[in-house]
Parts: sequence; structure tokens; C-alpha cells
Amino acid sequence: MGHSYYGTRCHRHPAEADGHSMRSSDARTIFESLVRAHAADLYRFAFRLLGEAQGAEDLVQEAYHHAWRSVESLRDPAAGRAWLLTILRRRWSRRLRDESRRRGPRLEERDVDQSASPLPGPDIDLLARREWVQDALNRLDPRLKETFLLVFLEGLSCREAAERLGSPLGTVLSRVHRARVALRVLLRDVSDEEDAPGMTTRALPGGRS
Amino acid sequence: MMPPDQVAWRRAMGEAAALPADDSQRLRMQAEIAGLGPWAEAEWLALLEEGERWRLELGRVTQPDGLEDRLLRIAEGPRGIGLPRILGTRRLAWMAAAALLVAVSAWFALGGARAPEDGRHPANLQAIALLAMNDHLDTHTLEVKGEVPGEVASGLRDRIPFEIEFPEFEGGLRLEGGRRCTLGSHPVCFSTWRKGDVRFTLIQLRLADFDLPPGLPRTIVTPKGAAAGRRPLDVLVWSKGEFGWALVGDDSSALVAIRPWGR
Repeated sequence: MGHSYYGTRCHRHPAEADGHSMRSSDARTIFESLVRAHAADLYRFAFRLLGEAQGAEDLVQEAYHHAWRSVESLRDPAAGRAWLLTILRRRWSRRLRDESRRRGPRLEERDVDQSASPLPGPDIDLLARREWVQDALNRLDPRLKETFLLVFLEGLSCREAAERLGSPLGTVLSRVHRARVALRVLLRDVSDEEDAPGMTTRALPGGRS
Repeated sequence: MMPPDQVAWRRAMGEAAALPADDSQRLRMQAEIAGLGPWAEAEWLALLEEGERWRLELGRVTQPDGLEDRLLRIAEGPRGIGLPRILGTRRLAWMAAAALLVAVSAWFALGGARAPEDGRHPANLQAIALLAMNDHLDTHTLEVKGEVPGEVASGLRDRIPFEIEFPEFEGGLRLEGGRRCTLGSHPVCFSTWRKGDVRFTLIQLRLADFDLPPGLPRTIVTPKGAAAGRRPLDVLVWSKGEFGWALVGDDSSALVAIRPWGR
């Protein structure tokens, strides 16, 4: 964040100004700063989580509504982005819990047994097909996807992601690795389904190894 | 099959590659890779490249126009008290759909649907066509996704208390999935289909639930009273046995070519 949330009361939380609640004008200033600074990042994260634009915007709106209601709880201006992202992830997690609808087979379930089959190696040709990336993400287990996105989209280190998620570093490392392996398989699944005629760069199973 | 050692190394390399470049665990891994042979060096480089490509690709998301303005308007509302949770456009769409259902239910309850003309109950067909059209124009989450009719029907079996039948379309429509929907107090099966770029919504219902007689001819109904700003879309209605179906598509002209069960 390149500017202070609190104008002339830099480093002092507005709630401290009168010892009680934050003034409306202060709250609005902070909120507007949060929107301008982080809305695009939050939308990007939500879109990659959900895989569709309308749902992503709804989720971002929910997160910002929550932020507006509880902006007083943001004590550290520099933590605004992390705070918003935590709100968004929690609302997404709540949705996941609430949704009892059936999903398709999860890659986590059918791909974690890595000792039983060769581990697919990286295949950059498949990643080059951008339209397949979201299809593959949509099929990834939600918990693997969340961790993967924190690291590869949000740019958190695995240690930071572990702190955010409240998980041990080893768990995060394992999830990231499993997500990558699963995504390779999923990208191949998508490519097999698309099986676009005339495509010359389709990779063969097994990749480089 | 890959040797167990190699599997373990690949896993360790995969985990280390996700760490920052100056992380001690990653640096240790890099030092060990040289001793593992050319395959490990190639794999390590590929892992790093793959990571960079993911970072690049994941960031390619286009933000919708006006998002920031819509979010800024949130601050025009009250703060610190419970705001209505019905905020997102999807929820508004659901509210609109719910309002429509209430209206249609009231229509049936008040006997508006019991005005048969020449035995075809056109009022009922109008209500059903209107519902089908609005359902088609709204965004709905599919409870069961899939292209295989039998599998989707099986997935919905516990939610819908009648036998689900998906037609065999001669027009080459491809099933995307389905969900339970309710019209008034009566459950119906909602499914979406696609033919090329044209999306279709199909609703299966029990004729008796809506006071419709069996043997409805294949009919195209244009809903009256479509919501403001919405273009009217034709709805193809037909029946078979005790069930009726209503099909609506983005392109009404496409309906003419649709021949369920060759009728």
C-alpha cells in the first residue's frame, strides 16, 4: 500500500481518536483504499477459485461487504490485503461447507497414490493452452487449489501460506506438490477431451522423466 | 514403473521447487540434484519453468467492467450492523426467480390455471413457458454436471421424486447437467444443454401437477409478460406419457429444428 489509510493520523488507528468507534469518514477512507488497492487481486483469486465470473464477483462483493461492516478490526494498514483475502477465503470455505451438492471425481482421490503409477513430469506445452488452465483448476480438489493459488497466484512463500492456513509447512509443501501433479494429469485429461484436430503440440502421457 | 527412490526424489524436488529461491531447504535440494543424474537436473529445471508458467497463467484474469465502482458503493450503506446478505447479483437473480415462483404459485392457487380452452390449458402452458424462459435467462448452479443423461439422471434421483427422462434430441443437443427446481409446490427437473454456441434449458414436469392433460401436441409457446428488459424467447413444449417438457434456447429459431424422440 503506497499511502496511509489514516491521513494525518498516520500510524494511529482511527478508533483511538475518540476512544470509541471509528468515524464514518475514516471508515470510508480506509474502505475506499482497500477497494482501489486490492479489488483486482481479490477478483483474480476468486475467479481462479470458482472458475466463473459471476460467482467470483459475488464472492468479492461478499468479502467487501464484510470488510465494510468490520473495518474497525483492521488494526494494521499494511495487512489490508491479507485481511481481505482471509475474509474471502473464509466465505468461500463456508460456501464449500454449505454446498452438499455432488461433485465430480476429485483428483486428490485418484491421483495421490503416486507410488502406484509413474509421476507425470512437468509439461509446458499443456500449460501453453491457456483455455485449459481454468478447466483443470475447476476439477482440482478445493483444498489443494486454495493452497496452490496462495503460492502461485498470491505469491506467498510456502511458509507464509502455512501461517495463513494454520497448517504445518510440510502440509503446505505436500499440497502444493500434489496440486501440481494433479494439475498435470488434469491438463492431460482436458487435452484428451478437447482433442483438438490440427493441434501439433499435444504432449504424450509421461512427459519428461 | 519408476524406482521408489526416484519417486521419493521427484516428490522432494516438487516440494522444494515451490519454496523461495533462497530457502535453505531448496538450496540443499539444488546441491543434491547434481548427484542424482541428468534426469534430476532436467526435472528440476522443468519444475522451475512450470512454476513460472503457472504464475504467469494464473494472473491472466480480466476484471469485469465497473467492479471497483460497484464495490465502492458498498460504503454508501450502513456500517457495523447486519446488512442484508442478499447482495450479489446471483442472489438477486435467485430472489427474482423466487418472486416469480411465488407469483406462479399464486396463479395456480387462485385458479388462474384452471381455465382450459379447447382442452389444452393454454394458461398453464403460458405460466410454464414463462418460468422456463426466466429460468433459462437466470444463472443457476447445476447440482449434477455431466454429458451422459443416465448419469445425470442417476445423480438427481434422490432429489426429484419422479423418474427423470432426458429426451434423445435429433438436433444434436449435448447435456451439461441438471438440478432440482420447484414450480409452486411441485418439483421439476431443470437441465441445461448446448448445441454449438447455443445454450438450452429443459424442464421436465409431471403433467398432473399442473393440471395438464396427457398427449400435449408439440407446441411452441411465446411467453407473455416477460420481465422488463428481457427479450421474449419461444418455448417448445411437448409431452410423453405422464410427463411434459419445456425447452427454451438462446436462439428461438433453433427450436424449430429440435425433434425430441423424432416427433
